[in-house]
Amino acid sequence: MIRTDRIGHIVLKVRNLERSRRFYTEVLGLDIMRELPQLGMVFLASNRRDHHEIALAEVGLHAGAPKETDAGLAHIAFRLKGEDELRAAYRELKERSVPICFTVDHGVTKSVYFLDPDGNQLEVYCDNPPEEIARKEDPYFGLDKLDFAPGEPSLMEYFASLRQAQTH
Amino acid sequence: MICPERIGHVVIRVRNLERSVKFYTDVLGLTLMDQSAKMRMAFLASNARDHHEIGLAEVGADAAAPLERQVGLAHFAFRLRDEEHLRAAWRELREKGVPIHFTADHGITKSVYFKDPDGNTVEVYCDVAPEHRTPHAHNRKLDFAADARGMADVLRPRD
Repeated sequence: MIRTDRIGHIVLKVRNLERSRRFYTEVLGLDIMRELPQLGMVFLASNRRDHHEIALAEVGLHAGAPKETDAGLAHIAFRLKGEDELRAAYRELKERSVPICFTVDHGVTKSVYFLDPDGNQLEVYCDNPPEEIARKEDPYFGLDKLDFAPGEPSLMEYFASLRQAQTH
Repeated sequence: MICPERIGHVVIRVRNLERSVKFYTDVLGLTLMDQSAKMRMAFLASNARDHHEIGLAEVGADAAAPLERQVGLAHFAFRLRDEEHLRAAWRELREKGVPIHFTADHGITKSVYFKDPDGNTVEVYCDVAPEHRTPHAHNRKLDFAADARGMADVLRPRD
């Protein structure tokens, strides 16, 4: 059996490298670790902790997008320090008019889901305190939306709207 | 600016939950942290270090595969402790008949890329200390993987 130390990074294909570079540095606040313009790639990380946690690879403006029903990526998640940081992240996303998908208290985490410029789904989350998790009936499958974002859809509302969009 | 602490996890949509759980536990050695037969989801992590580093969500046997030239996932990567672990991982993948995509000496990392049961590209890598980097590695294939493909064999130049 392979013994993994931890998850390291994810490489994402994007339509416009410059636009995505701005989004991941200015909105998400990642640091640029390396740029390889000849390959159309940028490498980014939180707190310069690794050579990269996200790399962006440009595939061109006319690239299509996978459907919600396809196999493959659902979302990528970034951990925040605590609930204060999550609230601040939510305000930041709203101020910058980043499309929010839904918010949810999963049980193990409180999470805000949103879209990058190519429609890739991202999550920012904070871990709930262990005593709070211990009180949850089903800590990986909580469905309540977050109290500080009453205007956003819940997880169930979001997936219902996707299903509706598919049938129309 | 949001300024995350670190990357946490990735969730992928798979065709068959049991098949993927088996792959990510038996081959990659991740620990199953939680699963729901009803929700058709499973959560796994290295060393039980987090509530999950990878989530699997079943979308059904007929789900299409994403296309090469679409936006979205290129690959995701798991860090191994050192080159010994990478060599052991390579042998393990070969013994289990997992399709190897290619190997590369990226300079900063040595990497083995392979396919999960849905065709997602997964990488395992070890970091290479600056004093141990091969000068001008140029993404050459790894010396212990002479019979596998290198990066130049699988990646097309940009249009």
